[in-house]
Amino acid sequence: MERLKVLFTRLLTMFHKEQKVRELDEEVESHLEMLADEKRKQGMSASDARNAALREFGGVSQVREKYREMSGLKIVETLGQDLRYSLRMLRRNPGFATIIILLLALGVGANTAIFSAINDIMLRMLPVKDPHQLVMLTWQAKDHPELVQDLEGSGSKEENTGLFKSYSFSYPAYEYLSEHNHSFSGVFAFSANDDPINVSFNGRAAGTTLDGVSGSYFEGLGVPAFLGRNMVPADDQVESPPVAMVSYQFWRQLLGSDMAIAGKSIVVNGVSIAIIGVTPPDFCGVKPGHSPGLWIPLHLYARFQADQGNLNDGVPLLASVTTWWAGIVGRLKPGVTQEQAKAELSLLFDQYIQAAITTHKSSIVPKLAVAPVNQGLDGLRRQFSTSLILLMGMVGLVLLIACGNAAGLLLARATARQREIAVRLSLGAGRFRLIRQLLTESLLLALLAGSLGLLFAKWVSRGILALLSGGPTPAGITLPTDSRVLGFTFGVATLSGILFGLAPAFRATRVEPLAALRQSVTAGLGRRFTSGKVLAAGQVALCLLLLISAGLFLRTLQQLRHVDVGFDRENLLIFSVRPGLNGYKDDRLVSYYNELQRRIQSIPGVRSASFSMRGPIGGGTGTTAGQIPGYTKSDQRVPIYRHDVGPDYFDTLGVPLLMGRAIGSQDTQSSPHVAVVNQRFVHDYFHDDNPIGRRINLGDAKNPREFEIVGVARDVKYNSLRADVPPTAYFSYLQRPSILNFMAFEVRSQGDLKVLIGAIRHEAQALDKDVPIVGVRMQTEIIDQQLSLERAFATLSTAFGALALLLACVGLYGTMSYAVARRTNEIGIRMALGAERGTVLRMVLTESCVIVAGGLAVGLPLAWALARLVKSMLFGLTPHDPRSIGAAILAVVAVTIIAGYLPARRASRVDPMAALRYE
Amino acid sequence: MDSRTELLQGTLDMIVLNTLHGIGPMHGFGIARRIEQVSGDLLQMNQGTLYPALLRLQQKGWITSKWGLSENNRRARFYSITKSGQRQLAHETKSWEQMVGIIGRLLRSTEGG
Repeated sequence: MERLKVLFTRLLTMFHKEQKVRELDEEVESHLEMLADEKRKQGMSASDARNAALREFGGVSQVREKYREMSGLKIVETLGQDLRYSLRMLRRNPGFATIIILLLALGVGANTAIFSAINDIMLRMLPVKDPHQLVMLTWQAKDHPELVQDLEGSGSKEENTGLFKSYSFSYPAYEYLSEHNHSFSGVFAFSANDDPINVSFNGRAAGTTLDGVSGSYFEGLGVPAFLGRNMVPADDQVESPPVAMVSYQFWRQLLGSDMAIAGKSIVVNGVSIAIIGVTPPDFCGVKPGHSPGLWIPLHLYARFQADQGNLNDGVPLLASVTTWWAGIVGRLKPGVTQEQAKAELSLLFDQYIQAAITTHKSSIVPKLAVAPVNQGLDGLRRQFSTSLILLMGMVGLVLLIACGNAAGLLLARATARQREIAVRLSLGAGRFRLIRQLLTESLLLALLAGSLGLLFAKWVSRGILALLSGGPTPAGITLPTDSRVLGFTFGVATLSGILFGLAPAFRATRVEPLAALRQSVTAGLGRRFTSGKVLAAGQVALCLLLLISAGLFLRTLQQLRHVDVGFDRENLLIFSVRPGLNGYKDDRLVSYYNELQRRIQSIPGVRSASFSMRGPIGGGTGTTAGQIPGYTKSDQRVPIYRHDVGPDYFDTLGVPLLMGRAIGSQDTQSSPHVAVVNQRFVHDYFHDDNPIGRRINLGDAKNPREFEIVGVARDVKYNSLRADVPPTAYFSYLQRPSILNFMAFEVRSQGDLKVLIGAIRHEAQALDKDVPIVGVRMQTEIIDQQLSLERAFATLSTAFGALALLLACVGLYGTMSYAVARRTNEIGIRMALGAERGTVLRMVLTESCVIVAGGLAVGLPLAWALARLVKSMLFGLTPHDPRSIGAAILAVVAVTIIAGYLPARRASRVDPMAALRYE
Repeated sequence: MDSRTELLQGTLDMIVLNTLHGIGPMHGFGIARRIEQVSGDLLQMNQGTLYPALLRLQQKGWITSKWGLSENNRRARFYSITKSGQRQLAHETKSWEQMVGIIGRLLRSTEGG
């Protein structure tokens, strides 16, 4: 209390302090006069009386200083002093300040850019009510469960754990969990796939994507309608009239921001749907990385799927136990933890699975897990996160190197200012007061660098966005500079200011004033400038780390670019058609596909054309659980990666058949069902026996759907470049339960494909002008896009590595130049005594080499130990890849030797006479 | 050798309070003189050190001040003790006496033993 009161009065009086001090002067003056009066009465002369009074009073100026200090807040006041003094120092030496600020701004800016990416991608919360209460259900199993015959939207085997993970559930599972749980105040579901649709409104047609959501979705998330009304559970019933919510972006772009949109109709896939509302601008759904234009109730979604013939076993989507396609999100009741919810729901899920496998045999049983919804299960986001954290580590190292530079420069200057500091110390300045003054200077530098770094970060961010564009980027990434980014930037700047300022400040003030004043400017502070050299060596070590990682990522990209995909990726064009959206069905679909194939094949320059459900690389995955009679146990099902293909597929891709025959036009709905499998399939499931004539059963024991294996094809990458070739089977598209209403076409040309695109469009138009061909891309473009993350990573890490190398060079150059400058005298003596220029050159160069070697000696083991951190991101090489490490060492040595050579040459050209006169 | 005693740390505040309590409103010079008289010139003190103490006591709210005229018509600042200053003085005096008593007993017991 007492202290507070004092603080308070001091704060109050601080502002009219000058007046206070004037009053004190007056008071002291009157005191002195009273004293002098007394002395005069005792018979002293006026001047003697005055002197006696002053003696008796004691030091007037000390009293005044004490008084001044007590009546103000000393810290605040001296801070102002320090700042003014620092600004004066900077102005007096602008070159020095500019260099430090620039070096640091590069480091801080790189950190800010990467942090804003982390902030935007990893830390951003969903724009919904209390997002921390939302959890997403996921499941995992040791492999693809047989029960799940059709898995839509999510599902992959994790490379490091080998676990099969997914967030897609069957609708009956959703119903069971939402009815029986006590952990959630609300549970809602959404379709895990994004379905592309054609929409027409007022005669304008456009493409967008659509999500099915349960009626409780928007209310449960706590997302209010921006316009119109929200979807409610009553909209999601069997007999409900068709309705849709549209996204803000869709409303802006395609509905012309019509304020009276609610109640109007749009046509989706030929069905008229009433728009009931628009979602808020920042809402993109809970699926990370996707932002649909339309949300429709699940019942309507299921009807669409049925209409399009997308049902695998003919069972309606909402009743199917074997089709898993819906994501589930729950809102925790207040007081219920995520662990409690997981415990309860796991139990419920186990009960549900036990019931389900009494009718559908499954030896692999999925287990439930729970994840915070904003982290989701999205592989993309997870992949981004690992990359971003690694990049953050790298830019952190860059900043450390920059701090090293700043510290080195300050150390050098500390020597130059030694006389000044000695003078101030001997005049009675406190050591800590001086340290504070020096720290204020470095903090000022750091904060200026932080501001400049923000600009630099904007620039880097734009580069990052450009690198990621065109690739699979989580939706809505803009890398905004919000308060968190600002806070981070200035936090980092302050921290680095303290980091690079503290040691030089302590060092600078550790002087013996008398000795320092007597000595010359160049003496003292350790003749050989060891601390500067240690700093430079540290920079070399960190730089080596960055360069090695840059090398590893560059080599990974290179390996991925040249990975054998199993077919010739050049001169291959991929595009899609969706005639199903224009009302084509069954036989009409078949004749459309065949006619389009025939027309394209007749274009001069086209060598061959075919089609399949999915494009070969980057077309997504489809897996089915099947039995292999004679090889799998009676209740065991194995995962089969499938391609459903048209005639000439293998010819067009150029995949050689190693045994038997390809799938051709003779394989129709009525002919015996056949399949072609790949080498991996033969190896994994037939233990390398001859599979020709053997069978795959995709049905079950009661309703078998058997396919006879008629050929073995060479291994081809499936969807991803990174993943190993999985056991793959090729089926005729005609021998599916229903004809697909969309196809990916593959066109192989003899020469330049680009000139053929016009001709292909022309043929498609001639066939049916209303069926557009979409997504026309070269296979090489698709592969390039798949590598966009790797490319971004390689580019950024190379850029940061180069920056680090530059900074380390500046550091070494500065250190050596300074060391040489200080030894000019000594070198002059050596030369005067007969040392050759070559000897001097060698002597100084050797010092640089010792620094670099020291840096390498520390950096190499460090790199060796840290390499496993990046292991999961590499492809086709070990983290200890000798070529990457060798190249990094070479780069460091070559560049730093040049940086060390310049000062050495300068040393060797010292004129002995001038050097001896120097000082 | 100088027979005057150095002022014990922290006791100046108490002495100033007690002085003001005894003689009523007074200026700095008067306070200094009064302390010298009462101590019989045995306390060694620079008169200047009084002023920071007076400021400190004001900041704590134990004394107040206002400008006025001294007996020989010089403008001077007169200090007077406040209510909370009185309380503080009473409290300090009590604990001082306790302390002196305890230390005195301790010293005597060592002498006697």
